[in-house]
Amino acid sequence: MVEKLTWDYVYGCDPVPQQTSEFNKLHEYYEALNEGRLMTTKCDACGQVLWPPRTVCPECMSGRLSWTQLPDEGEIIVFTVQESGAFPGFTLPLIFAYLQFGPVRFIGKIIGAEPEELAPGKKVRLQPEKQEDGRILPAFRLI
Amino acid sequence: MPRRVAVVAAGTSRKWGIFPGTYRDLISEAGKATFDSNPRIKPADIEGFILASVFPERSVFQSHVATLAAETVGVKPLKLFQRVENMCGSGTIAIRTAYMAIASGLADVVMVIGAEKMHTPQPVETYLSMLGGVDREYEGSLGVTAPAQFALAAQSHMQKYGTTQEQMSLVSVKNHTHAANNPYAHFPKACTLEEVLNARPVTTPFTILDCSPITDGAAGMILMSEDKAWEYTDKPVFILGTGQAASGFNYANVPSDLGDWTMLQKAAQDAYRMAGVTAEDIDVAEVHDCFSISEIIITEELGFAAKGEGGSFIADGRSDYGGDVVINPRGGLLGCGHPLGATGVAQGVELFRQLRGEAGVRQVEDARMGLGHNLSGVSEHHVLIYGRGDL
Repeated sequence: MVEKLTWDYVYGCDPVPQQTSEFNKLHEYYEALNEGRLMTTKCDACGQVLWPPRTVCPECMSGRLSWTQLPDEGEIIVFTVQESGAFPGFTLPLIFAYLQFGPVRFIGKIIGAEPEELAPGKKVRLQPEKQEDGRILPAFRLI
Repeated sequence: MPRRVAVVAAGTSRKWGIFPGTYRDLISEAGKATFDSNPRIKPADIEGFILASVFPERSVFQSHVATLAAETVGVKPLKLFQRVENMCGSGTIAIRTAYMAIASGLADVVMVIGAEKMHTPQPVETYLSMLGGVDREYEGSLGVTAPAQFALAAQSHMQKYGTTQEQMSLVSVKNHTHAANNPYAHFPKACTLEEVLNARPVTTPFTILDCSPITDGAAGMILMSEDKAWEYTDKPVFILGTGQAASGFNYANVPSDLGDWTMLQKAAQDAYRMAGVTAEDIDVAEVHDCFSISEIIITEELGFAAKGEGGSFIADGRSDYGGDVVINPRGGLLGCGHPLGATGVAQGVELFRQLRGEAGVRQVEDARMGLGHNLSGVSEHHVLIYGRGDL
């Protein structure tokens, strides 16, 4: 259990992303996570699938973007098992992997897996994690 | 034609580690050390002032820090003043900015200070600040900080080139051994290969000794146009070339495999071309070993080792005294610590001393040309090439 003072400090600083329409034009990304779908934006003008999601396409400066769903299955490119130095409130070990999901790749958090089960090439699927205050963050589990 | 630019004074705060004082105190120490290194220069001679500092808003609740720092060291900058912040590479960027100001004729005399107070009464603050140093919305909030990012680069390099954990650990052994000869280093103590391999695991493949520590520290440097420089010193050290390149902030947009740092290759090629030299001409290099793997990849992209052979380059002793090029004689980030904004400036301080033959027990024999490298992420790199005044 994290000391209350430490937790109050972290919570006050609020490092978790804003996820509502009031503060984030890309709130639909989080709404989709709540429904178990991994979405990102695709540029209607040049067709580029972008990560992270955008409001303006950095390739062609078009402001016309649509939501597109990434494939259900992604693949581990490389991974690391973090055994110390974790942020307060995170349970060790933490596993982070560089994941390929269709046309995009990014760092994802792997949950519910033993380190020895992991290997490059293993397939993963979205399993979002709800925060105590109701906000949601992406995480992935082995298939 | 741009004007030639020289470094004429350089110094660091006395002892890096947990600094028993305020941000101002830290800046004062580095300022005094810099002026003490060349008593002919007075604060009133300084026309421009640049401060490299990454997160004082969080660590000491203070923004507007460039003029705070200038006032602290007695400088009234009548031609330019600014802060540089681009995470871990801020120090080198500040020197580069001073170079640009002088080369263009905007000012003749510019002081650079890099300062970072990372230890705070609330220890969790450092974690918060560091997760703000990666993509906070899409990476940091998941718990990702620098160790995990660079561990993924290490895994990629191991997978693609067969680099071993032992080879990485040898970087730590070398740099801690060098740090033992550096009075200001956070950890001035040599360590063995077994100690690195058996240290507390952080994130695979790194143990705690593969990771640069959280450190308070500061460093300063004074640069002048060539004609001014000769008035103030008989041993100016010239900036001969520089390069910088970035592509990809979020890991999603790194343009290559994580173990191939193409942006460093680009920055280095530009710097070599500008200086009219090649990697073989470099006698001493201060490079950004934030993690042990970093130095291995850096030696490849700088052209000291062939691509994929950075592991055997360190294992064969080619980056140590008596080898091809002496890398990180001051002890690197692994041995000295990594006070973000200060690191690049301190690398420059070491190269200044090496090229003037004033590095004492750390002296690289007949060092004529030096290279400084800082990074702000696997895909953001900053390179400076320094040369002796008599070249």
